[in-house]
Amino acid sequence: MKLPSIRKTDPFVQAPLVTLLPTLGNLETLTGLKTFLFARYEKVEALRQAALAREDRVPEQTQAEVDMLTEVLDWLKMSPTKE
Amino acid sequence: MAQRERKLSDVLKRGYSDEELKHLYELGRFYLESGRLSRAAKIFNGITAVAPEFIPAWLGMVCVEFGLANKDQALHCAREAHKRDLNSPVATLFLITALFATGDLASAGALLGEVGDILEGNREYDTNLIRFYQAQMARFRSSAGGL
Repeated sequence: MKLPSIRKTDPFVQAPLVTLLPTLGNLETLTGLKTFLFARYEKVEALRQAALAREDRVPEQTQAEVDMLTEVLDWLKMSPTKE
Repeated sequence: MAQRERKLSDVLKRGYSDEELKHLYELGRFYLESGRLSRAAKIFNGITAVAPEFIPAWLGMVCVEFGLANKDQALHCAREAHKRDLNSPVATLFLITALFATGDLASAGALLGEVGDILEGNREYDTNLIRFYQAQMARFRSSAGGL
C-alpha cells in the first residue's frame, strides 16, 4: 500500500500553533544584511568581552544578542572569530 | 498585531530597525518550522532582549517552549506577548493554549469569550486562526464539565 506523502499534509494538522505565526520578512533580504550584522556582532561582542575583562557579569541582554548574532552569522556562513 | 512606526530613536536605542527585526524573526521561524528548536530559541530570545515590544518573537518562543515541554516557560512568554497587545486574537489564543496546558481552565475560558467577541467583530481573519479558535472552544467545552 502506498502511504500518502507527508508533504501534502495540512501544516495546521502537524503544528497548529506554528501556522498562526505571522510571516513578516524574508531570508533573502537577511543575506543582504551581512555587513551590518557582522559589524553589530563585533560591537556587542566587544561589550561582552569588556564586561568579562572587568570580571563583571555579562548583562542578559548582551549575552542574548551575542547568541542570536552568532547563530545568524553561522547561518550566513560567516563564522565570527572566537577566542 | 500592533504596528509600530519606524523611528530613528528606536534604531539608535535598540540597534535594529523594525525591518531588520522582521528578517531576523524569519530566520527564527525557519528554524522553528525545521524543528531546530535550540537555534530558533537563540534567535527569538535575542529579538525579545533587544526589542521586547516585538510580539511575534514572544509567540515564537511560546512554540519553542512547548516543543521543549516547558509549559510554565511557554505560559510566561505567552503572557509577555499578550500584555503588549490585549486585543490581538493571535496573542490571546497563544495565552489560552498555555493556560490550558498549565491547567488553568477558568482563565482560558474567560479569554476564549474575549477572542470570540474580537473574531465576531471582524470576519477577515484567516482560516487557520478560526480553526484554532474553534479547536480551543471544543477543548474548553469538553473539559468544562470538570470545572
